[in-house]
Amino acid sequence: MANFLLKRLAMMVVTMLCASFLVFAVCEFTPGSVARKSLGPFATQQQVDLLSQKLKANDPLLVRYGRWLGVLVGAVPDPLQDPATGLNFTDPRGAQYFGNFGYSTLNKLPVNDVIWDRLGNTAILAGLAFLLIVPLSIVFGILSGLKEGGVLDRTLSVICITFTSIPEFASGVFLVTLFVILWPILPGTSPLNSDGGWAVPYQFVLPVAVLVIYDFGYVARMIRVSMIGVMERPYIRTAILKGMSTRRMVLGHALRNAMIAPFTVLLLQINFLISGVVVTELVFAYPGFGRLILDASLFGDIATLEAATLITVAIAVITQLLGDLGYMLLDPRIRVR
Amino acid sequence: MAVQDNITGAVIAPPRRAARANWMRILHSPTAVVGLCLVLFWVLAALLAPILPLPSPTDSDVMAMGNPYPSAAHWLGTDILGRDMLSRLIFGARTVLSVAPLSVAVAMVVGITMGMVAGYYGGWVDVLISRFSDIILAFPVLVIYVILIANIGPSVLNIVIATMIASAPGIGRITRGLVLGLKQQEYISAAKLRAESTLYIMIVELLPNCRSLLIVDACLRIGYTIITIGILGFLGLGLPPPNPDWGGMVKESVTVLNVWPHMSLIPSAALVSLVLGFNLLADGVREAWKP
Repeated sequence: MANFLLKRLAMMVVTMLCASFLVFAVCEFTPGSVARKSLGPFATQQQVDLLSQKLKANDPLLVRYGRWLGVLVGAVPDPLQDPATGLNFTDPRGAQYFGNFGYSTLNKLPVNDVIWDRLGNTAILAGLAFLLIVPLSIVFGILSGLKEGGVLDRTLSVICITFTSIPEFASGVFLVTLFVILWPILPGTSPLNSDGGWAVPYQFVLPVAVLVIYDFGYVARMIRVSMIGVMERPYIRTAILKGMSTRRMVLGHALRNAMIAPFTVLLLQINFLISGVVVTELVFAYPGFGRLILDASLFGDIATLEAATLITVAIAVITQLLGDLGYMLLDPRIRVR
Repeated sequence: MAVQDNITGAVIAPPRRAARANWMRILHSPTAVVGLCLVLFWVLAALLAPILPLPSPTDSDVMAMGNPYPSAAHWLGTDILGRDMLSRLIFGARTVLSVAPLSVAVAMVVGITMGMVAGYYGGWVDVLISRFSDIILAFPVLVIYVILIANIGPSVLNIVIATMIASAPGIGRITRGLVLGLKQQEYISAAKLRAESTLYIMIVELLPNCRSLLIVDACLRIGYTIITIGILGFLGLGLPPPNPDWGGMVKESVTVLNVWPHMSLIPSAALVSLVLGFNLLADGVREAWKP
C-alpha cells in the first residue's frame, strides 16, 4: 500500500514537472516580453531592454525553467524581487522559501497573495455545484437505468442529453435573461460582496445552476450505463423473481454495485468543474481561480499561469488517486498489484 | 479503462457485410433521426449560405441600429453594429461546421494512430504513449485550450492544433483499450499467419472493428469541439473578426443583454441546437449499433 502511494506521488511530481515545462514552452510563443508587461506600454524600449537584461529574460528556455524551479523550491531568490530591477516587488514571506510561485506581473502582487483566495472562492462554487450534481445525477441515472429503453429512460435520457448540450455561457445567457431581466429575483453578477444590494448567498444561485446544468446530465448518463449493467445480472433477476419490492431491490441490491464504476467518474468531475468555472466566473464576474487562469493566459503572466497549472494538475492527480483508492474500498475484487 | 468502456457502451463489432444494414438501422432510432435532422439543417444552411438571399454578414445597416429587433428586412434582427443576425448565424455555421469536424478528424487520425501503436505493440512504446497521454489528460481540457490559444493566437490552424492536443490522448486511450481486446482474436492470429504486414493488420483488420465506438466518440467530440469553439469565441479567443462566430456574437452582445436580449439568446440557442444534434445522433447511433 505504502509502495503504491509512493509510486503515485512520484508520478504526480513527474506529471507536474512535465506539465509546467510544457506551459513554460507554450508561453514562449506569447508576443511581448515579461519586461514590457511589467513596465507597461509607456516605458521606452531602452528601459525594457535594461530590465530584460536584469531579469535574465534573454537566457535560453531551459535555464529560465531551471531558475523558475529553483525559485519554487526556495533554492534561488526570485530575480523579479531583486531591488536592482527597480520594480519594488517584495514578498512579505521573504525572497527565498519553498513554494515561492514568484511574482504576478498581472496583479503586481506575489502569486501566493492572489491565488489561494481565488482558489478558495472557486472551491466554494465548485463544491456547491458538486453537492447538487451528485444526488441529481444519481437519481436521474438510477431511474433511467432501471428499465432500459422504457418511457422513463427515454424521457430522462433526452433531458440529460439536452442539458449536456448547453455550455455554461449559453445557460448563463438563458438564466440571466429569465431570472435577472424578465423576472428580477436574482443578481446577474457575483462579486461576493453586498455592494450591489444582493446578499452573498443569492449570488451563488445562478453560477451554481450554470455549472450543474452542464455537468449533471453527463454523470447521470454514466450512472445509467452502470445501472443497466447491474440490472442484467442474475442476482437482480433472482431478487425480482422471489418477489422482492422494487424499492428494496434497487436500494439494497442494485445501487451499491451500480455506483462502483461511476464513483471514479464523479471524482473526475472535480477536474471537469475546473474547466467549467473559467466560463462561469467570467459570465458572473465571480472572483475565482478560473478567471485568474484566463486573465493570466491573456496577459502572459507566466508566474501565475505556472502556479495555476501546478495546482490544477495536483488536483487532477489527487482526485485520480482518491478515485483509485475509493474504487478499491468499494470493490474488494480489485487489489493493488 | 473499464470506466471508459462503460461510458461509450462496449459495442461488439458487427461483421463487415452487414455494414449497410447497420447504417440504415440508425434511421430506426427516433433520437438519431432528430439529431440527424438538426445537424442536416445547419449543414444545409451552411452549404447554401452563399446562394440564399441574405444580407452580407459583415455590412452594417445603420438604419436598423436604433431598432435592432426582428423585422421584415432582418428576420432575426441585427446585432449592436446593425449587422443582420440571420446572415451572421448562417455564415457562422459555415465556420463552426468546417472547423469542428476538421479538428476532430485530425485528432482522430492522431489519436487512433497513438492508440493502435500503443495497444498493438505494447511494451515500452505503450508505456511511453500512455504516460504522455496521462499528462495531457491531467489538465482540465478548457485550460489547455485557453493556455494554448492565448499564447499562440486564435486561427483555424491553431484551433485544430489545440483540439488535436486536447482530444487525441482520449481517443488514443479508447482505441488502445479496443485493440488490446481485439488483438487476441483468432482473425488477427490468422492474418499474422498469412504474413500480412502490421500496417495491413492495423488498417484492414483492427480499424473496422473499432469503428462503431470510434464513430460514436467522434460525434460526441464534434459536439464538444463546437462548444469549445463557442467558449473560445465567448472568451474573446475565437476566430478574429469580422468572421461571424457564434461564441463571439454572444460575447459582443452580452453586455447589452438587459436591453436587447435577442442578440445573445439567438446565437446561444443556435449553438445549443447544433450541439444537441450531434449528441442525439451519437446516442442514437450507439443505441442502434448495440449488439
